Amino acid sequence: MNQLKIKLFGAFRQYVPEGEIIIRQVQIKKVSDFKEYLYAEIQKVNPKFTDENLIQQSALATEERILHADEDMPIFSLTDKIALLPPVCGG
Amino acid sequence: MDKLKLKSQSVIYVDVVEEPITLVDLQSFIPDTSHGASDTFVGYVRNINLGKKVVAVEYDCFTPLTKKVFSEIAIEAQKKWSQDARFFILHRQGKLAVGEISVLICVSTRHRDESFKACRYVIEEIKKRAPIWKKEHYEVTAGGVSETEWVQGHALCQHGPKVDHVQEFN
Repeated sequence: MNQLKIKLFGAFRQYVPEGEIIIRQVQIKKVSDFKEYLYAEIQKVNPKFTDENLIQQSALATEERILHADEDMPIFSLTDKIALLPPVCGG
Repeated sequence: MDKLKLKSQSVIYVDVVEEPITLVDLQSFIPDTSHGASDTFVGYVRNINLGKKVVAVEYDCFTPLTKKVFSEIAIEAQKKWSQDARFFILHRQGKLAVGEISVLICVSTRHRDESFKACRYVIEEIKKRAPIWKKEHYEVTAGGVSETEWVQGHALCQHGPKVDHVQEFN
């Protein structure tokens, strides 16, 4: 079974303090659809997570770039660093 | 190459650090000899947010992408205002006390107008684009409750056409 590690940041840490989940890799075409899949996976880890708005406002990213919501989901391996980034407020 | 040498020789030096940032960190930033101006921005943790007393702030950061975004922002500023501008961008991660430095930016250019504008551009874009998150730690209430809050921010998710950040800044 192919697995993926997804790093979680910011507000997601109140639901998953470890800041990471491991999910089964599935065939999902678009980045926007993959985010919906992640919503369900985070809920499996913590059923108290019901913030759909947070997922919708978050971006999927690699170490190199943010993935556009409309682009096709790239193929990743377990060693790839993929992150779910909520709205940012650094500086 | 040791870090001090790297800092002094880099045209664009960016980093995310866990140790405290001080203004002494800037001593390794050396403008090009053709530069007549530099502008520095220092961001501090302040003691109030939305009317509530803050005792600390915690920064969470997706470091590899943050450093890439810092570099991209600096290159955009070079293209817009000064091709040979030099940049020093340092952001802290972890828990910071009130008064500590969260971000330190220095830009040097040939003339002062470009350094003011480029420095302003860097901090404004960091706030909108860098994958960094801030959690406010508030003073414990009379009832003994300590409250924390992840600050609302700018969404990074992209829909539709690619954004020209420099054009939008104008």
